[in-house]
Amino acid sequence: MSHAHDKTPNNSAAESARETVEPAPAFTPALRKQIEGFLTRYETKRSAILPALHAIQDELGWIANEHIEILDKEFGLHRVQVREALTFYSAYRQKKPRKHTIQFCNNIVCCMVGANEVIDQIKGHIKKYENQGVEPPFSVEGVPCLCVCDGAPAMLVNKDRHLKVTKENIDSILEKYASLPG
Amino acid sequence: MSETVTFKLNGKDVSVPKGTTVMEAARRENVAIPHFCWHPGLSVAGVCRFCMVKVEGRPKLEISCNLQATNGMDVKTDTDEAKTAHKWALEFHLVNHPLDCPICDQAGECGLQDYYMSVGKYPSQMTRPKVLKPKILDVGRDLVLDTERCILCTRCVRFEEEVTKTGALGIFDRGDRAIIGTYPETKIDHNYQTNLVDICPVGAFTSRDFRFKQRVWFLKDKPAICPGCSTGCSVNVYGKPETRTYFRLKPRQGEANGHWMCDKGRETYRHLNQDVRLRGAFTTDAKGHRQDTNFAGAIESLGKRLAGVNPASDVALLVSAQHTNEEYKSLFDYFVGDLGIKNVYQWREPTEKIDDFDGLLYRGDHNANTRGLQDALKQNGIGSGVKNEFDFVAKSGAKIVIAITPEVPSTFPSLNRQLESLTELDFVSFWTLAGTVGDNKKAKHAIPMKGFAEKKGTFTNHDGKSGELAAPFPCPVVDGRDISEIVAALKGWRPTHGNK
Ligand code: SF4
Ligand code: SF4
Ligand code: FES
Ligand code: FES
Repeated sequence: MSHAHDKTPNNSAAESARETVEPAPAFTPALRKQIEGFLTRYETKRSAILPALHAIQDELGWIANEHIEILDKEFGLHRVQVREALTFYSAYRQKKPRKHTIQFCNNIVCCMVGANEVIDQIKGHIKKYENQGVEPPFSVEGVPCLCVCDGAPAMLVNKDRHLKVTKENIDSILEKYASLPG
Repeated sequence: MSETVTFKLNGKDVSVPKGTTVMEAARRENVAIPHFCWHPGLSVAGVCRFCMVKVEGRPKLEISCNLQATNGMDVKTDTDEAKTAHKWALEFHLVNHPLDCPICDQAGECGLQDYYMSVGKYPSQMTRPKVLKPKILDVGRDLVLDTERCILCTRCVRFEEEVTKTGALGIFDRGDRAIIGTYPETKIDHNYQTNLVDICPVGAFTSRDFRFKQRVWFLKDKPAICPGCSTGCSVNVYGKPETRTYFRLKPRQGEANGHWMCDKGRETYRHLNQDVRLRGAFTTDAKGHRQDTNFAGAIESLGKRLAGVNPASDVALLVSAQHTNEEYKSLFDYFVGDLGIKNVYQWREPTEKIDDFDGLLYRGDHNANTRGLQDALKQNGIGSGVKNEFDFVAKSGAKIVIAITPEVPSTFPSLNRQLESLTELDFVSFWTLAGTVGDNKKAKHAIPMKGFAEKKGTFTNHDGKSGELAAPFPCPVVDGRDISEIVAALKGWRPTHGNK
């Protein structure tokens, strides 16, 4: 896309196209089979877009532009429509995630018992890695209620649930993950 | 016939076929309901929430574009509640709108401006900084996209899905960051793109061809028929009579074209402008020097020549299929009926694929009136063998050839080559709009013609349907005439002195 302007924020579509520098992981035969199943499951093919994107993310960790092209060319899902769905939902990852993904609950109950301070502490660790010029082994994002309010503050690391995460115990949890493979 | 329903619209009983929406019924009744996303040529989306009406007995306002009229329904478009809804819907559409009307080409024909004057007129309460988005994006040959001005009505998205079936446009991201666009690194590439400029209710899509050439309120538009092909789309021609300049064509709703027209057709205003037109008549004196003359002078010299030969055998007519039925009638009545001319040929473009059709509107026959010419030829007992008639002119042995050139040069790639070879003949009188005839040093005689936007008459399209040129602009070329006027002048011509 040619931009006559560079002062204004870029078209998000073009921007994320540029960010995709990581080579995209290839579709596995199992993933292909799964997507084919979605295509026949609904009244319209278009309805298969959301589950197909979920399947790709579950299987490969993220959704690259190359994957959209495959959905278009090989599965007949229009790439514009795929992109519309992909960019609408923030739960779809358009970039290769770091080794570990931390999703920290920042809804009301967890916030009341200090979620934000813990999130800040995690961010501080990430900064430390970055300052040393090292790719941090984890990313953090705030997410809505994880439905374990009785265990607040709560977080997910990848698919593991951690309850009563505090400024005191977070460092050792992070240390453990940092030493694990992705 | 089909079932009808009767309902009340602002207190008046209205009957419409079952299935008609309140929006459509209101349009028929000339009741204006503000709307952005609804368009008569597209499916209903119901996304702008602007077209609210009150249905008595129902607790909330409803959108009229997706509301089917039913028997006994009592709909009001102008209650205070509805008016307030319209006003605030407009304010919300403007939350992140840049309001850059002074530099926006849409100003003067913008839904936001028009509705502000008709249903808005509030002091804005929006004080927060606006979300900025990319501007001046190149998304197609004739398309410049300003995503900040977009109100996300999805008309363009539906046009690409439903009409061109390319699905080239989408809305990406969400909420106030939602942005209209093509897939990254791709452009819209088809022959119908400027329709997006027309249907976009705001200045998000503007036409590269028309941008910044003229403020629209200085233009006059007059209904005509596109001369670009045998479909004969109904159009409006936009020009500025004071400066005798034409600027653009836009589709007008019509039987042949529905709501759209093609981009090739949009170009057919260009040949009307003076810079490319034959500006005056000319003849050649006894020594072979070109003499500029006026209309009367051109008729005089042609009249003399015609009087000096036996027209039936010595004159040939070469006619293109880009003129009106009325012109053909006066032409053949005189030349075939009165003068008995036998050599009548049709001017064709050798490269044209006359039976092509793109499935939407554009046809391979790039002449507005092929049917009309064929009918006229038939009526005058002249066969209409079609192919390569051009070559026969040379072999006809005619001493005088009257060559009525195609009007629209863009539809005739080999026009100049054909003009070139015609000038090799003994004497050719060109009746033409084309400035290239004047540039050709060997051309001996020419009369400037009026274009389709400057005359009255009818075209018969591929389907046998007639389309009318009804509201002519003044011809920018002083001596420009249509065929009927030239023929009338020739008919009335008498030698001024001496024998003939
Ligand atoms: S670009 Fe125009 S037509 Fe398309 S969604 Fe935006 S306002 Fe509507
Ligand atoms: S389809 Fe033919 S008549 Fe219609 S706009 Fe295009 S060129 Fe003109
Ligand atoms: S508020 Fe954090 S788990 Fe419910
Ligand atoms: S015109 Fe009815 S919702 Fe947009």
